[in-house]
Amino acid sequence: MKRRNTSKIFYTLIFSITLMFSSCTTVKSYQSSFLKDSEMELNSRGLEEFENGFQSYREGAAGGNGGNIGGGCGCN
Amino acid sequence: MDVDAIKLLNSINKGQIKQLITLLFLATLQLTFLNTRLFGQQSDSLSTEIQIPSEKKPVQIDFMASYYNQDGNHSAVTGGEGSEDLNDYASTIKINIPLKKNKELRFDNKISHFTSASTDNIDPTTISAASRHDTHIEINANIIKKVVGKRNFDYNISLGGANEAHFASFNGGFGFRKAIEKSQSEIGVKTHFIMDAWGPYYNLSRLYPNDYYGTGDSPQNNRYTFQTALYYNQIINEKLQASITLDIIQQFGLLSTPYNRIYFSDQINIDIERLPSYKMRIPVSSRLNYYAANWLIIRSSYRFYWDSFELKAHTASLELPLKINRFFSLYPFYRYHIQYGNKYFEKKGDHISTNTYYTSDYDVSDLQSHFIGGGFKWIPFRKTKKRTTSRLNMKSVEMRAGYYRRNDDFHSWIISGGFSFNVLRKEETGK
Repeated sequence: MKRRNTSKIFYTLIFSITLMFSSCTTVKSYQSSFLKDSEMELNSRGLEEFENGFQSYREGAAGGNGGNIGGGCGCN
Repeated sequence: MDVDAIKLLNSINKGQIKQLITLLFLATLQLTFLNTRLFGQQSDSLSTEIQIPSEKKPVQIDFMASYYNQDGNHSAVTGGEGSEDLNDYASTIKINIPLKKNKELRFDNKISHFTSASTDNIDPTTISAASRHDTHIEINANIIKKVVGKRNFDYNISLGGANEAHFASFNGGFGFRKAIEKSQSEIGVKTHFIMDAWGPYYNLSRLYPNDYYGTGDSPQNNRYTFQTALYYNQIINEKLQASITLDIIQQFGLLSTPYNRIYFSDQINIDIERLPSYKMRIPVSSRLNYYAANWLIIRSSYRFYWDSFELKAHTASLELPLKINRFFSLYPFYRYHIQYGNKYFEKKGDHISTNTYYTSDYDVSDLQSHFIGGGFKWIPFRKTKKRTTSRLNMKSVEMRAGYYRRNDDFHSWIISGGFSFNVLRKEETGK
């Protein structure tokens, strides 16, 4: 598999996220019903911890998702 | 810190790391400046992982269980070729207990029993060895304190441990979180420490493959992991919110797996997997959730990963909860992962014996994977107008299943389910 220039992809995403955050608006209490929906929570679902576990074992990448960070188990 | 770690630190492209940190710092400054100009009305706190503690809130209990099955042909225990058949049965119970003075106590306990064809081959002379199955037990406790008033922040302290037949672990950590109401954002920082020990109850050499005739030359059997995580959540508008998380993870000690075999192109004798005794990992992830319509929500995430063994990865996922009604939702999901493997990986029989470090673990090779599946979530709702006298209230029921496949024909599937319920205080039931 050829190595691609991951730096450009990464910095482009960071810049896009920064621009997006700069367009924030104030949300009043009576307007926040959509944000309070349980499916809108920013953390991963409780059941995903089992999947995060096997994915961190079966792939070299770990962390960034609140799950396994590479320690605490008989794994790399 | 040993010589390997010092050389590695010097060889890391510090320019790139500095650029990354500078970029994130500037982004944070920009966000802080822009958001403090928005002098809006008071808004509710963001929905977060940590509940606001109160002695009047109910006790919450979550129970989850899963079954996982995998298979493949690149077992690292047998040098990169061999069955990877494994079955895992796991269950987790989590209990949140609100205490007085805005404190909350959390316990979680996980038990996982697995049978593995690959670890069975640590001893190649037997048909079935004691290592064919094992049980992982994990217990963690977390105490959270909320400081109310003008300062308005939370902090938490955690302790825990885990145990397997060949492995033991201890961990502890500290976290801090603050909601910024004017900017409708939240910042947090977490530090975590894990100390692992391979073969804690006996000499490490008992974990080596039976056909390995070396001495191991491993000065220690411990592994230390230090994590610092920073996160930032932001409400963008009434239907859109996002988060960024940066983890910096450093590991020291025995970072290889003592029973993974290595075969060489220039000699017959095998060796065990050997890796440097220092590793830095940096995953950066973001999430974006959008309330597209009354019946559709879009949940997306992306993660970039880099480590000092030169492994880079991109992971993206998309989930589309379809709200059938207020209490029931179905959701399909898809996850794609691509990684460019670490510099010490070679296939079975391709390693050179004069190299210092080597691995044939396909989990750290160049690979792509796809994970697809679906699930549902149901929130029971009582239609009766009578005040409930029951102290036990079901909060939600959820199930999901998925199929995972890598481009080296490794595949697995998992099914998991769980429910959560509240145990009301006596005052709330009127009893």
